[in-house]
Amino acid sequence: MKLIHQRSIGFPITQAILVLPRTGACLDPARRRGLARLTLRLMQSGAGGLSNAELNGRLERLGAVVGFSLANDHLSLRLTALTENLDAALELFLTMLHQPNFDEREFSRLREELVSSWIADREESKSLRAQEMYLALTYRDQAHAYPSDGTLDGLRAVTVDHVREHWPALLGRDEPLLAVLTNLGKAEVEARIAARITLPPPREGLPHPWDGFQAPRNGGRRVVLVPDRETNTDEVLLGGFTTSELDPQWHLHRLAALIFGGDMNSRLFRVLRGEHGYSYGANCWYETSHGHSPRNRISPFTVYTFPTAEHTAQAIPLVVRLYEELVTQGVTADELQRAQQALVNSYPFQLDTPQKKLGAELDLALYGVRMDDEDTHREKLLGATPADILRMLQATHRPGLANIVLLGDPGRLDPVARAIPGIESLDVVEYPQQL
Amino acid sequence: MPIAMGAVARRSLRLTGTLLQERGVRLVQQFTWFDTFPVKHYRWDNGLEALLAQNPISTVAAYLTHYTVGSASERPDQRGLAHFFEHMMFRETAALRDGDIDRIIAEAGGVGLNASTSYDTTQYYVNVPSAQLERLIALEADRMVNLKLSADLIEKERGAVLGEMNMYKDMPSDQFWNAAMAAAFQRHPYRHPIIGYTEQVSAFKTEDFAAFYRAHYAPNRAVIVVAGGFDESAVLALLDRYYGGMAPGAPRPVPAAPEPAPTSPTRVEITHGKISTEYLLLGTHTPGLTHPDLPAVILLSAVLSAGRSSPLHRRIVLEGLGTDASASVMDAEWKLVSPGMFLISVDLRHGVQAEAAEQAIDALLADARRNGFAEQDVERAKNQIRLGGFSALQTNMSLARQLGGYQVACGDARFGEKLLAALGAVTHEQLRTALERYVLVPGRLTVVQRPGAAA
Repeated sequence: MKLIHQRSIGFPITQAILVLPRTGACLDPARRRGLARLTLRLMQSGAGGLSNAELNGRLERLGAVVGFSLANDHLSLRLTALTENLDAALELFLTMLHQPNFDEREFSRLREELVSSWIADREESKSLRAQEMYLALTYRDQAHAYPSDGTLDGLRAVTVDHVREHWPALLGRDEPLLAVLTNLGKAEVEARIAARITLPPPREGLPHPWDGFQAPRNGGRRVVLVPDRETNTDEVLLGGFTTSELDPQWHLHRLAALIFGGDMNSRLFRVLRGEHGYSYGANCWYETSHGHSPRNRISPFTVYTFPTAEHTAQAIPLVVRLYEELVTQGVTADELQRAQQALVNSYPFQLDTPQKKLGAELDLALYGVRMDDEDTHREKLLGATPADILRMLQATHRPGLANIVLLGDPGRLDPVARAIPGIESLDVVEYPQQL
Repeated sequence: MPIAMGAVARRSLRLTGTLLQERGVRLVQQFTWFDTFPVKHYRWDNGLEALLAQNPISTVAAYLTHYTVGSASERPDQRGLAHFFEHMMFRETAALRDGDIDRIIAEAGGVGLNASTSYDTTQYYVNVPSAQLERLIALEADRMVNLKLSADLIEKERGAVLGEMNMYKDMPSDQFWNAAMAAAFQRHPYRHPIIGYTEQVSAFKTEDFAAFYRAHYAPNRAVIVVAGGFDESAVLALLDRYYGGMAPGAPRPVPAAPEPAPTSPTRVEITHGKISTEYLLLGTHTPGLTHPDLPAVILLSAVLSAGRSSPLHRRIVLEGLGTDASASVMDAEWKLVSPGMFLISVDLRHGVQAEAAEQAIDALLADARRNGFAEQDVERAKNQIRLGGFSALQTNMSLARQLGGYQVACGDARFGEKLLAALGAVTHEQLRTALERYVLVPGRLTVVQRPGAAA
């Protein structure tokens, strides 16, 4: 197990993060999307013969909490505790890890809780629904397309036996990582935490859906219209696969993304919000930065806005045109200079907190993504020219083959969608879950 | 760089104690916050306050300006103006053209530039490398007094503001919160949505903005917090240079009278066309942020709901009634100037009616009245508060928010630290008193949101 130790500012708390690579939500079977989430939640809901309330009661009285995060290529279990109670809290954490009850009654209750929460989250946020539809369209319904909290049908199909089988299968798929942020020194962390965590040795040759992943390519623009009636704003997402953070030209992608939709000074924001007032927000990102794609894998580039209903008809063609113009015309020298200054000068924020330092070490260990030192960072960015960026954009971005999701009133969106040029397919798809 | 920084800005930036006095800057207090962050609190003769907090491991700085104006400061014909005005602060000044503010901050390497409007304050914030603080201070000082308000820019920004309102309107939780606040506060301006009402926001004119600027933006209405790693005397000199010569503006308006606690229950039921589960909120009035009973009220909320083993979680979530249940105290969370509410909220499970959760909560509270709280529940709450308190101080911006937020809300930047200490000392008896005085009262508000036709 690889240990990453980071000293905190000095408050008497310790956070230990156990990362299991080559696991994650992608391993959920197609008919049981949500299995990993249910498994992790059930782990926290009773262990070592202690009930949910007893186990969490003991932890919480110690000033500790256990949480987890679930990416689609790995998962992390997190213990945060007052350092004075670390040993006792870790004991309970290890009990969860090695002796989860996986109680059937608790499972039934928990599954209903997660189903209800799943529905409520989608009812509250149509941007969540739009994002899901966009990822499904972009990844063409492969395992990578699904949200880590699964699907409604998937959650309902999971049984406690599936959970009991899944948890041991998640352990030992690869060498685990232990990242610790604490006021304790490294030797103490090794003795008090790392030495006490024992996991099965990594098994060789276990496949993972990200192995050999090939990004699907379109023959034209694929548009999906998701009806949602009586809305005050509509959701617009468009984009497609581009590159990974291991690309030697990643710095050019960062510059282009910042110029196009990275901040309040960007083209998207300035034009859509500042000049026209069509939308409260407009931005773009690489899905690696949103935690969807692993940082060392090819990632979709996504453009997003949510225009007020009365401006949708103007906003959608404008967004499409702005993206096309970016790729056909590139960026101006003035825009580039500003973006270079912004990224060069903001370098200190990449490592300005102990948490970020820990995160950088984790990215290196998990993905081989190494942060440039300040001089290299500056040199790469300041060496970029508009011509470099244009070449990069034309080599990796295909706005004419974009996946486009429009969520909102179908009567309003349908004519706008049909007017988008270069459409390969236009489908009206009801949000696939009955809410 | 449109903001002129003359020769004086390039001279030595240090101020000695004598010079400070001559310039009308006074060190009000200094302390080490949570035994970790040395803080100095300065006040200028023109009323400006600044808190300079050193983070010993940081090489960057958070810069946050709290203005003592929020939606509760608005006149009845101005609902939403504080928030709309906050948007206009990113547009033009006499020296800066539209777009320059965002550009200058970005070029300086600033990250997280943004602002937010609350009930009692408006905050403008950004993180910058410490070497870039002068550019930022010059800019912030400039827009404090030199903002340009043109009809054209207001019209452009109105689209964004209405877009933001529309975004919230599509969220069922927004309707629920607005209904709750409108019922909880019959007289106090906390009853109005911070973002205002579409009809009024659509009609604000240039002169409304100009009058609002004159009334609320001035050095005596601001508390600046710089938190991070920086040369303190240099930053003090910069603040003095850019703000020290400004004239004070109108004083902060007297806060509205506290909402009288109702003597009979209120029940509000609303429906929403796009939800399939129910939501419940129970609310009672609190005594206010600085009232000696408040620590007990806050601890009570943590005893009831901090953690998965808390009584509220056990009764509601583990017994299958809801997916989430929490108790909270608005006063501390929002850093309110006027007394707020003690709130218990429940997200019901699919198919479960709000009344079932209401009965379970009533039974829980009745049990607590009879038997008090278990020592282990109190211990859990206190330790969870400690853990949460430390966890919340991990960034420069979180330090700045805490220090400045409490300085604006109650005139005591150290209040957060004192509150944490006070919470640790709350007794069982004080908890029971808090329960009796502030929760088990006849004037409880109940708000239920159910699936149904759009309201």
